[in-house]
Amino acid sequence: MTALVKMSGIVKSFGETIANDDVSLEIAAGEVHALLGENGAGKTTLMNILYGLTIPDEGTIEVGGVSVAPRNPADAIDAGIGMVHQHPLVVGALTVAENFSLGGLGDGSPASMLEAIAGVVETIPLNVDPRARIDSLPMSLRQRVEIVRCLAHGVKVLVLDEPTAVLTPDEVAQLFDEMRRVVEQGRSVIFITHKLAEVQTIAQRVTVLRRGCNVGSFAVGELTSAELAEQMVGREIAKRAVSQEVHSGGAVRLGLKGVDAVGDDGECLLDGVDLEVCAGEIVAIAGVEGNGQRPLADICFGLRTPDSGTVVHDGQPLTRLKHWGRSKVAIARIPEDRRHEGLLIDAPLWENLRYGPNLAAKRGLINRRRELERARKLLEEFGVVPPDPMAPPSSLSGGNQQKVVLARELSSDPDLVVAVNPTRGLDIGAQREVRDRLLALRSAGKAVLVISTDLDEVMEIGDRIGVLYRGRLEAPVARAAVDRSLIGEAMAGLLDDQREKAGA
Amino acid sequence: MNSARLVPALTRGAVALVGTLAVGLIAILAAGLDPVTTLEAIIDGAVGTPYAIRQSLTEAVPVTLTALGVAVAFRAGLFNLGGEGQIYIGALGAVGISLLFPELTPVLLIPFALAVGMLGGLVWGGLAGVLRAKLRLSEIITTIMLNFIAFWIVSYLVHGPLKDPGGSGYPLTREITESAQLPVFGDMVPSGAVLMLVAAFCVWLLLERTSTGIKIKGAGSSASASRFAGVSMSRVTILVMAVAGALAGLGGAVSLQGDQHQVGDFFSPGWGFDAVAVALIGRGTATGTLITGIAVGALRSGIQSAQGTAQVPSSIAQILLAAAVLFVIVGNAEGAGQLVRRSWIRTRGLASD
Repeated sequence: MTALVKMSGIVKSFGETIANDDVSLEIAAGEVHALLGENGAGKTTLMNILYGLTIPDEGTIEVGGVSVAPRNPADAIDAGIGMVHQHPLVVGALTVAENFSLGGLGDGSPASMLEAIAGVVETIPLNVDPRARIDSLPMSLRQRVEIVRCLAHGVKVLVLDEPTAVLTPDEVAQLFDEMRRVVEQGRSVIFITHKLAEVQTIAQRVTVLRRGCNVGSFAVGELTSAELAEQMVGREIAKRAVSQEVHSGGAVRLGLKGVDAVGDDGECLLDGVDLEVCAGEIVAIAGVEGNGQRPLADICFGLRTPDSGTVVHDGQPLTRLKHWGRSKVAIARIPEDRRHEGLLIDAPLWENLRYGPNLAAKRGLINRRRELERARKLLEEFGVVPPDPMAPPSSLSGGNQQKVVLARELSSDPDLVVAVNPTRGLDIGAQREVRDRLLALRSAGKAVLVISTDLDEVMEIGDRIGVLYRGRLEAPVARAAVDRSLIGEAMAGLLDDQREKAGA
Repeated sequence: MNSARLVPALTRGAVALVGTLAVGLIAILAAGLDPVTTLEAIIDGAVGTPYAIRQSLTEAVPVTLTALGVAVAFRAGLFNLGGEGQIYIGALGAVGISLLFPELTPVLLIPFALAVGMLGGLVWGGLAGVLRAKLRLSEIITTIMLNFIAFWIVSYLVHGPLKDPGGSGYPLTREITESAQLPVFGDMVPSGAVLMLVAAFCVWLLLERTSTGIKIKGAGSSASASRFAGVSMSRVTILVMAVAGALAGLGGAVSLQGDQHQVGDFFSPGWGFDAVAVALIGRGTATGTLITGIAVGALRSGIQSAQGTAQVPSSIAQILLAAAVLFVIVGNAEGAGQLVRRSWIRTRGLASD
């Protein structure tokens, strides 16, 4: 086997955290090589080093037998390495052709662009109007624009950083198809992921990283999924704890009736959403991102007033946060973006544990000692490490940050919990804890609404499952009555609609 | 404070101090003065005698009061560049009351005049807050513009309707009667200094010990998290700008009643802008701002006195203040901190070679 890329003894630390600890990696020509690991295992850091975005403390890189030390992406591209990030780094305000011209491909006119990429589109058809503005395109097309741009630069190694996180199942299949065609030409693809099924589907070999260390490289098929998972997390993952009994609800806690939301440009965001969440059940809403999750969450959070329809909590109409705050029984709200919405990222934890709608109820002077004690108790109860009330959330890992949000929101003993993508970006251990917490709340008789783009999560914890697409809610049904493919179809039903429209 | 937080804090302090002293030294040498005698003269003029201390405190009070307001606004993420205008309006309110009711007993007149001065500043600052909250006008622009309006209102009044008819023709109001003047304790501590301490304590309480303080700091650090938490940004904005204005207005009133006794065109030598520097150096905390404000007052007063005794140009005070701000910003900059750390590591590397 000839190694196209050879990284040896890579060490990189950020302050006291060691992101890569003596990692070595060999990529053969013409293979899809998966880089597998939990969040924070050092996958992206390793690839940023390869792509010249991060300078390693130690270690060497060889491409095609030649030693290289890329100090910026331009160096890397010259050496034949291209990378597409999870969130494509294309300029939204410019057209497709203009974005290509930024990389020296054409002068911004459609004709020059097509000329510059003519060799590439034979392998991977772009199928995009060169005059379309990037921000009018879905994520999958933005990704494809970037992939084509990399290939047009003649890269030999294409790095894809968790490309499937923002795609529908159909789009994933299409991406895999493109990846196969790229490697057929003798180029290599490095595919960063933490999804085992994808590794099994597309990769020939896989390298597993754990806590910055290289655990090993394997041929796919050499290990079963369970064995790979064990390599990845370094412990036998508890058997997927799909809750045994499906709970059925009691009294209606949250009721939405005919809720519409209209965007700034008059576009329909939510279209007649009816939803009931009852005590003692988890209602999980699946869907591909951008199908109305945000407005639905904002309405449930009290941050947005529906343009028509009603929202009722325990028989009391609520449409604005004012009402949420005034509501006698507090409602726990777990936002999607814990860094910017859930937390004051640089304020001490004890202040964060107060920063919610019931802050106004705290009149008079604050007894600092009592506040710190309360905070410490909450942090310990929710297993935040370290439980230091003076530390800011920015010093904590994502999992611990989420636990702080949970601690604050659950401290007021709510009877309704609304959570959006509660485990996004967390490692498997922290995901487990958060989901267990939600399941325990359900068992304790709380009503729980989870809006999530992670289908695994929806299938695992939802007692009733609904699907959101194009602002319409497929009414939640009991989990026993649905299976994955059915939900997948509901999520993708949207795509068929789009194709019909495009074809018409 | 643990060592992880203490070391960068010390680094910042050292950068600011060393940088400022270096610039000061260059300025003194460039003026052809002997550094040692100059320094002695400045220190003597600042704290050498009870009178010097009194002068230093008198100089420190308006700028510190205004800076405390600027600090509160800072914490909410707002820039109050309108201290100057708020000081003028505060002084105008206080002088108006003092001249209208000279017969009142001091026990009533002094707090009455102070309160109206504070109220004037509150309205002037609050106005910028309302414009920001309701019309989304940048408070940076509106406070600067309100400075001009305040200054020219006062200028018009002291040249016209409020001009002292018995005066020597200067654009000044009549002097306020003794019944409106603030007392000095023991020939050394002006009562304005006591007010300054009380104000600093109140600001500390507000920021560190109330839920409103948590909201102010929260609004300053993340608008999206505050929106999520149900904190009304517009309410915080108006409140904070009103508080900032009230403190600056109090500064104007105190300077009138405790020191100048009449209002003229050039009532404030730029305290409103110095206050921004003081709050910056004090990093927006009540204690930091108080200490910096007193130090700046002492420095100014010391240099003023040294102007007579050692021919030190008064502009050196302004140079030092500006240098201090610059080096505090440099010291706080992430990149600058790294620069210092890296060069330190390199120096150690050289030593061990």
